[in-house]
Amino acid sequence: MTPLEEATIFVAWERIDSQRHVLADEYGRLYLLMVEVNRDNIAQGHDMIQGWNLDILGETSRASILVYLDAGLIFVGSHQGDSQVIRITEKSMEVVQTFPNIAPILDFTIMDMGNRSGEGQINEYSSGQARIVTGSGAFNDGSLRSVRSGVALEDVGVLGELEHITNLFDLSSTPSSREADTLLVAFINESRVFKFSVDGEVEEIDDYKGIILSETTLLAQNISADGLLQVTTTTAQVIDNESGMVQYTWSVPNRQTISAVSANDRFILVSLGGMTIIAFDVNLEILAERSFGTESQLSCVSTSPRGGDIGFVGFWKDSNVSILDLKTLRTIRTITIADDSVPRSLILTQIFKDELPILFVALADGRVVTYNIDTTTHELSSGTSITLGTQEPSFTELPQGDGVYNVFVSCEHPSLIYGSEGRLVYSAVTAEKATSVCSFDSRAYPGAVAIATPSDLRISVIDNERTTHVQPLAIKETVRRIAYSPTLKAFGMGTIKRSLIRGVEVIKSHFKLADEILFKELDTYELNEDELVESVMRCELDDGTGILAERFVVGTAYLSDDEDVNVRGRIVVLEVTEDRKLKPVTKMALKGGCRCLAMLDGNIVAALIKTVRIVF
Amino acid sequence: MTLELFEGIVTVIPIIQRHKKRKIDGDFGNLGEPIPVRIDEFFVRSSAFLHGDLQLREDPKLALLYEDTQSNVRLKIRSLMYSPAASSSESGNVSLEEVKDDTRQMPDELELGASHLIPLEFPIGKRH
Repeated sequence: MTPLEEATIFVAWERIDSQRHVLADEYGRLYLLMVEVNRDNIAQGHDMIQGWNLDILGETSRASILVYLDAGLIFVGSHQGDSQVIRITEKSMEVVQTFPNIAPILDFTIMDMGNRSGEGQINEYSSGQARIVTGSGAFNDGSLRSVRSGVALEDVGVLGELEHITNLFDLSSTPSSREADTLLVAFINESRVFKFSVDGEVEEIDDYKGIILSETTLLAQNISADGLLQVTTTTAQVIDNESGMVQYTWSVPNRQTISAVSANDRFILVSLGGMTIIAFDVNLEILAERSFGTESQLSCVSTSPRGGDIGFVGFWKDSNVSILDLKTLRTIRTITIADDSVPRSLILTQIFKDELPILFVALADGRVVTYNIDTTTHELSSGTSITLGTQEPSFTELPQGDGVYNVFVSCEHPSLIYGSEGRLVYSAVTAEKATSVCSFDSRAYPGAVAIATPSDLRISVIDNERTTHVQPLAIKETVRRIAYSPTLKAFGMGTIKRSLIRGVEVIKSHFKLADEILFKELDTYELNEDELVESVMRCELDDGTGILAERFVVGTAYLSDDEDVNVRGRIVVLEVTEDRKLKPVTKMALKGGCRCLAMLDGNIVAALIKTVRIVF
Repeated sequence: MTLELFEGIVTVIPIIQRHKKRKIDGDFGNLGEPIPVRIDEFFVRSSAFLHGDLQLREDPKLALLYEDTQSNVRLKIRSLMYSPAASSSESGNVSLEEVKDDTRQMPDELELGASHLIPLEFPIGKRH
């Protein structure tokens, strides 16, 4: 019998065959035990076993049970982490399938990004962007899990290997048909056309009705009864959809470029570098042209869909949005959207069947603001404001039939805006990597949506039901306590790390800071040796000059071997600097372990093992 | 047969088999009445049935990894002898006799950290 190189604690075993067993230890390591057998020895009366080998195969979640399935596949059941199915080979293993596990939940907090607007909480309902963030799992299996209720996207087809798609447009190749059967995919320097048959077969077309393929496309859509519009950075052309002949064309003079374009069934609005806009009719006749000086460049343009006479433009300066008459480009009305952010995307759409259409404005800082518009008087009345991300979202209109539309918002946390029971609902969508979206209601895929991710193009169907979506962030330490700061847009976690150093188990506590939207770790503050994090709190404290500042307070206890219940403890107050790093402000020793923290009248209250102390 | 271990007691639960004398077949495959048996080992850390030679039709052997009263970790093998009840209203008899083994060299004491027993086939071996 020979000892192992490193001491460990075994927790589970399973037989593979008469000579091989797998063993799992407390630290997630998986071993293969191979027994060496010599059958000749039996005749001589000696034991058959000559020796044994123990090899480490790899690391899994900390196993509670191991079950051998067949063909080298083993189910690793874990209570404190994700369960897995793994495949083992002679010297190694790989994870074949993972079953997410949110338990054991040690602490949780609620984050609602949407209900934070300048005016305070307008909605009594959740904005749909609320999430529960849990500290789950233990030690190496520890993680933060963000739980959201959202709308699921089901992939029905994938066109792989299409990278860096900049835009998607759905087209119908037969005139006056509402069904889309062609997808124009725009890349940085080219455009490609894919045609879908009625049974879902896809074919790339090299020459489609005179469409320019050698440049990227800013806009492609069916226009008027039988026209096909394509606008690139230099040219706009209207093609007869039936014959494929280019009927009207217009090129940008003086080597300028088209920077933005929007069109409906009667008007085409083009922006040249944000300084000049031109309104065309469907025959590409110029209706009006208007220049804005460098002081008031345009940040976005939009025409109202389905033939309205009005268009919308946004400005870089002063965060204004103007309503323009498309026939003359005269300004009808101008409103200021926000104090400090620029409108970058606009859409006017009909969410509710018998009500006024709604204007959605996406701001560069990730907010979406809505207005109700009276189409005759052009009066705007204020609606809602909601934060969806940190970067400018963009809108895509998805027809739902019956003249009603949903809006898909593409940003870091994509959302679907729809009307339900008279209210505007913002629902999270499980399409984390969507860069570009367009409606693709086709014969083969009714009601579907085409979605471009950084690496491929998918056709998906949006589920009507809202389901629960859990997104994990592996921390690899036990997340014992969580505190959330909406002001800092981050949350603090008290974590416990367990590592095996030269056969000795070492426990270390940290306080970590993580960003609320990207869910990424920003900074770590290490606590002392043998110090265990017990409680974490976010509060506002006097920063020494009389101003209240946001602080994180950590309560700890020192682990001690003796049976004395009165172990020592500490309170550490941390601030978050401008570049989002943790800095200790003050530390205080306590006579007992600090189990719980709270605020009372501007003072910190600490609950120790036997006493309650108020700290000034 | 299945068994359960509580401190100092091994509970044997027989699975009802077909018996020539038994007239009632309805209970076939179900669990019978549990039969408790006392053993000397109180703190059993792990137990395992050993793989036996099927042709020899020996009584099954149960290996027990236990802690004795001086906190030493030891290994003991016991033989399980079961006789079913004469009539259907009584439970059967079980005895767990210690097997004195001279042919196999078993160490007197094992490591204090021994936690699991893994039975291996053909040869008789135990691992921790």
